[in-house]
Amino acid sequence: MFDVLEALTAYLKTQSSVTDDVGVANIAGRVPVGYNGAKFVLIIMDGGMFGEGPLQKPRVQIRCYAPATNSAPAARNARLLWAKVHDVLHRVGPVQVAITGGSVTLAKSWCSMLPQEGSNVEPETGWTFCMGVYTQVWTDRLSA
Amino acid sequence: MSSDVVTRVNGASVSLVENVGHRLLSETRSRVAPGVGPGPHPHVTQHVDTGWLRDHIFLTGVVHESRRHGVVNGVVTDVEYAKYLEIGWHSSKGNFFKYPFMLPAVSAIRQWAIQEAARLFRLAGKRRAPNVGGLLSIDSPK
Repeated sequence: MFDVLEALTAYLKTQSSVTDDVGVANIAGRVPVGYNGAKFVLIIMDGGMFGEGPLQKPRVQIRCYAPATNSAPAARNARLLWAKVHDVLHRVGPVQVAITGGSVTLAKSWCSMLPQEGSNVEPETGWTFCMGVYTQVWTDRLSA
Repeated sequence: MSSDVVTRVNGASVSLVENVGHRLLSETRSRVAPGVGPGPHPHVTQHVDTGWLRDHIFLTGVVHESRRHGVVNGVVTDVEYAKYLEIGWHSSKGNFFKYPFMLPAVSAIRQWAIQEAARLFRLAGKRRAPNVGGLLSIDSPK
């Protein structure tokens, strides 16, 4: 079966505008042990809220973490990182992957949560993030 | 349409939104009631299940927006950590937890809401009910 998370991760790891910023290893479905809020792109299923059924409408959350730097607060850095991810997923046009009998559009923007200073800070860890939620569009060959 | 039918249909619209709103409120609250909600919470102090979130989920109220869009209703909360329950958070050990409770509540009542719409609009003398999906909205202001 087509794995949306795997395909999205693999795609983002090929995008130099993103990997130059965070590194290939920091695009994953789980933060590494000992992670401390450094730049990271987390790709996870946006669980438990599949109104139309998970096979037809998977929903993926892409969460971009970033720390504060001397020149910018964490919220701004997280937003800039998310903007790079969003650009390569969405703004350049649909990213489509061919599958047997059709294709999958990897990321159709569903909503985003952009941080202001002091918002989007995880309560237990203090990590600042910016996130977008994306759905996938499955198309068969006849309707393509 | 005669004015009598218009009145009845408008009445059905308001009844529908009120009924759906209250059902949605009840469904959402039940998902975070003490003993029902998630084990881990995004907390920085010792966890005590007080029902605070359940008691701070409210209806936005029935609003007449326009003839075309009819009436809207929604569920809101001003509890800061509700956002993190819905979208997920990392614990201090780096584990990711999530407990979406608002959108699943919408999913849970969707079928009932469609049937309720059909019932009320049949009573009002209209053969077709409006699109119920457009009548459900959920928001978290924080």
